[in-house]
Amino acid sequence: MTRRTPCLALVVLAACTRPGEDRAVLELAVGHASISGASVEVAEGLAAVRNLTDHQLELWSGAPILAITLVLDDTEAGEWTITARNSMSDAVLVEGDDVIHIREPGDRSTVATFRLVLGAGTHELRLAPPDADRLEPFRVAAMADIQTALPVVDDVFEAISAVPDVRYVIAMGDLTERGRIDEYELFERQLATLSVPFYTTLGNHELWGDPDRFFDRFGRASFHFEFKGAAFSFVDSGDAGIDPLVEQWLGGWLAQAKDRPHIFLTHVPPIDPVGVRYGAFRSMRDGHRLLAQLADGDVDLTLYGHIHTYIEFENAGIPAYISGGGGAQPMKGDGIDRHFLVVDISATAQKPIVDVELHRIE
Amino acid sequence: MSAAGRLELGRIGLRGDTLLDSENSARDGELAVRVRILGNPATTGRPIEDGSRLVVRTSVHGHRDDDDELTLVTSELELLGRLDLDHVDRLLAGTFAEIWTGIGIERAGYANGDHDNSSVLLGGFRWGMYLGQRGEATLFYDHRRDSIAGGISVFHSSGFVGSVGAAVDVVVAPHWGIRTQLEIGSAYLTTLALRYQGGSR
Repeated sequence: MTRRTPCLALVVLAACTRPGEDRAVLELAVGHASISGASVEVAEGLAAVRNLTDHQLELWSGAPILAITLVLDDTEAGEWTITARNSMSDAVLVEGDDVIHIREPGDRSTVATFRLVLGAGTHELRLAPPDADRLEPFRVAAMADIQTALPVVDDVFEAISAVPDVRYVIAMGDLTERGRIDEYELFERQLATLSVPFYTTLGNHELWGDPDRFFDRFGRASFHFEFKGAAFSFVDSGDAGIDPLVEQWLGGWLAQAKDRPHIFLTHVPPIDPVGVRYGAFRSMRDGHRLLAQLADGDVDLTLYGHIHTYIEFENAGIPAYISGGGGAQPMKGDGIDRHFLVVDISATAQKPIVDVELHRIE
Repeated sequence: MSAAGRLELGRIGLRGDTLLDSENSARDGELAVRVRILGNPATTGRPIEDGSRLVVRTSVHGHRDDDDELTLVTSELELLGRLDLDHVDRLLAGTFAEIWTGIGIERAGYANGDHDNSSVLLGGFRWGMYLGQRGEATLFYDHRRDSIAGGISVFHSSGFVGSVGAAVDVVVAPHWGIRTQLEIGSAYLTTLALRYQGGSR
């Protein structure tokens, strides 16, 4: 006895959820501030404006090169103190085309303070190390997943500081365990042991707290910058997906950097190389779509965190590393524990990602 | 728009599904074979008193996204069990529970010619009640993350959980039935289906 059962589904409607939409919109406010008589705008939101008061500007740099527009009226003209935290130790402030301001002595290497006299009007300032646009090989460190190890992360920072020629750290999020203010404060105190800037996106653990705490302190979680001919794109995947607005930004960054070395960083791997573990995007299709876009954009290196181990693999033909060794509860049995990566990059080399080296914290 | 056909041959069931998006830029297709190891076959033409069963299912699923030039092919092997809950307690008569688990191997092909192989953990559970002999209503959790719905965004746990949903299957006329389903994952997926049931009775 048989039974045939043709079945016709008339309508299947799908609508995406957007848990990251509010965060993406919040990011657009990063890098702008104004008071009566003065306003500041950091291009691409690449710095958080921590303070803009009478003749004082304090920034937290999210990139090695900042383009700052400061507009003053007569009441705010005069001597200004500009402090850029998390900046490169050799960064100088260039006003207009040729007026170079050297940082004040005495601050620690990542805090650059400048005093300059500014008249009423619009001032275009550029904060960058002198070699920022030179196409020479350079080296960065990469890490993620500090979380409960915040009290001892200074070990990792000291180890990074001891590696010769590291220009800055790029990080894939999960700086904190619960996104609490006291954790962010501790993290910032621990950064005092790091001799270079720390540029980071956020992770899912930052979302335990109000994401504004991250944006107000460290600036955007999805951002893009270039240094010495290489491009870096950081993308917020804290809720295991990428908001369509961020995807749109990423599309622009991929097009902009198609002809140069490009490093992509996000917290959650789009696809977990151990698939059944599902330590990846909540939609595998979205994960594969992202990888298709990265491959189409000729990305040279992808860096992820979230999984507390070290894995070297390839996704969509792009070299990929999961490096969750900032100290968070390590994966049992993998023998990796705390670690960071050192990445050597050369925009003029045939193979622009010259080397990716694992450094363990003993 | 989706279309599906199923052929039941004793303990063996064959099923084919297709799904096209409204702009015809993405397509899905699936071929599946189910073998009922335990339980009453659904092809006797008589109402089944006990819906409990154990089924092995194997399938091949394909997905093509033209915009991203992405092709996904997944091969799956799954074991599904349904237990009418009056076997547990007579007060639960008319309800049933299902559980399933399995594994899939997924191959993703990209425009640049590269491909990735990955694995997919299949699993889930369903609780339901029979609507007399006219159909059934169910609530379910599906752990897979590779479907259109994907995984739900849960506070602090995104990426680790699958989708949840509810479905109602009901016969509305001889040979004709309606299925409605809401699945909530990374996307909301709503389905309204009209079913024609033919064959010998």
